[in-house]
Parts: sequence; structure tokens; C-alpha cells
Amino acid sequence: MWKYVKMLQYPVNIKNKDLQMAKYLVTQYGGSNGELAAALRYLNQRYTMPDEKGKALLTDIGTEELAHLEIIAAMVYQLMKDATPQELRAVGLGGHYAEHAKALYPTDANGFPFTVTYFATTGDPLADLQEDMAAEQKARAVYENLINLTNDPDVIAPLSFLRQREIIHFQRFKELFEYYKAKGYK
Amino acid sequence: MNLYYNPLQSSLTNIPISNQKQMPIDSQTGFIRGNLFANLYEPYLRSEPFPLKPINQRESLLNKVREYDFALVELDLFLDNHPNDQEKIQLYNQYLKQSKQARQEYEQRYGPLSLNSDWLNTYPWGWLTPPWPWEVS
Ligand SMILES: [Fe+2]
Repeated sequence: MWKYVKMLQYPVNIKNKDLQMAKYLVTQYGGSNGELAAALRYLNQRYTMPDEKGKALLTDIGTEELAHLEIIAAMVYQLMKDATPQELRAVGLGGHYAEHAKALYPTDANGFPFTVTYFATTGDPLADLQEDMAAEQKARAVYENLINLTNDPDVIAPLSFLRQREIIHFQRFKELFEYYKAKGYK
Repeated sequence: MNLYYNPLQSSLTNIPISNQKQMPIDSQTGFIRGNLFANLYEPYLRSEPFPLKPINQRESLLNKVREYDFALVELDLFLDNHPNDQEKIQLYNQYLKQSKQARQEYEQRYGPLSLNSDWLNTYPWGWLTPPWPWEVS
């Protein structure tokens, strides 16, 4: 089970409205390399990990990704909370407003909705861990792209924090992958 | 202006990370970096890491909870792969104590952070105390 802690893992206090950035950032909410996909991928893969190390690591990283999902959601919410419908329309978020008003909705930066194909699970622990290592690298790269799209330190600081987390997650998946490979798991 | 970190200048280049000793740095620097392990830290921007700028007393007490909880996350992920590292197990338990203390300090002033808090025997129901995490405090 999970228990809620009423705080963000890293502080988010964005003072300036930036709808364009909200539009890009939402990809880490509902895009293929986003935090929702990561959380659900790991929490879904953990059932078929071959030993206690794998069950623990997939559970724990999956849980941390849920906290990252909340950070991204808070950022998108704060970036667009003061927007008018006309302002949303001006940055191409008119369609979003028509369907969801100012509610959050998991899509990628081009408005493509979240889909479970992002889960990518084979049941083969080595294949799944390599998928996860690639996913962490892709998420890191997307964080770098997003950092390149803004000058706002209120936005860059949490993005840099989240980017570092992908580096750590990659390292932990890699350690587990190498351990399983040496043990001859298939 | 050279804004980006040059990976060629990184001492990590060409050294297999798994062969290096993973020594945790202090929890405050680790939290600001988003990375508790010096040998795994690869900044992207030259301006990294970003010092915390708590906007009020509440936020600065909350940052202490975040800092210790972050160290716990990092050590736990490490220990999942290296369950025989006694030093890290001790460190985990030390941060656990500090995390509990920081929570008490925060919660007695600003209300419960979780539904197993010691600060829920209040009237009216303290769980509703604002702000919620996604709101600018
Ligand atoms: Fe991750």
C-alpha cells in the first residue's frame, strides 16, 4: 500500500506564469519518457523480478517516480493557474482548455494523450532492466531539452533536481542488471 | 558564455562507475544536488546546484524534512543493491532519527504531514491545514 506525505520531494515555487513552458513540461507528466510512464512501468514490472533485490528496487524507484509526477504536476499547475482562456488559446492550448479547462491532463508536449504502451514490460528481467536503463537516459535527455527551453530559475532548479534523479536511477538499474547477468538470470 | 557542463572535463569519464567507492556526501549538499553520491554527480549547467531559497519559515523547516528524507531515499536505493554495507545501514538509521526530529518540529507548528502524525488529535481536523503541496506557499 502507499501512504501520502503532504509535501513535495523538492520545493516548487514558480512566480511567473509561462504557458508555453507548461505546454512543453507536461510531457514529463504524460509523455512516453515522463514520470507517470516511469512510475507505472516499474511498479508493473516488479511482480516478475526474480529476487528480493529486484522486487525492492523496482518498488522503491517506482514509488519515487510517483513523487516526481507530483513535482511536475505542481509545476504545470503553477505555470498556468493564472491564465485566461484567450492566453491559453494564444499558445495553442485552446484545445486543452476546451476539453479540460485548467485541469491537468497527461499528454506529451504535442498534446498526444498518455497510453499504457509506455509501460513496456516483457517479463524477462534482463530485457526489462535494459528498458528501464534506456528510459532513465531518455528522461534525462528530455529534462536537458526542457532546461534549454527556459531561463526561469524557479523552473530550472526542480528540473535539474529531477535530472539528477534519472542519473541515480540509471546507475541503480545498471547495477542490478549486471548482478542479474552475472547470476545467469534470464 | 559557456553555460553547459563539459563532460570531457568530468573526472568520471572512462572510469567504470561501478568500480568506484560510492561515498555519500552531506545531506544538505546532496539534497540541493539531487544526488547524494559525489562520484555519480554530473551537473548539466555550470550554475548547478541551485541553493534553496525558502520563501518563509514554514518552507525552511520543511526543507529540513525534505533533506533528511532525501538522504533516506538515496541510501535505500543504494542498499537495495548492496545490502551488506553496514556503514550505509548505520547512516540510514541516523538520518531516520533526524528525519523524525525535523518532522516533529515542523508538525507542531504547521500541522500534520501524514496521517500517522503525532499531531492529529486536534479540533477541527488538522489534516485540512493548508497549504497543499502544489500550492505556492
Ligand atoms: Fe527515474
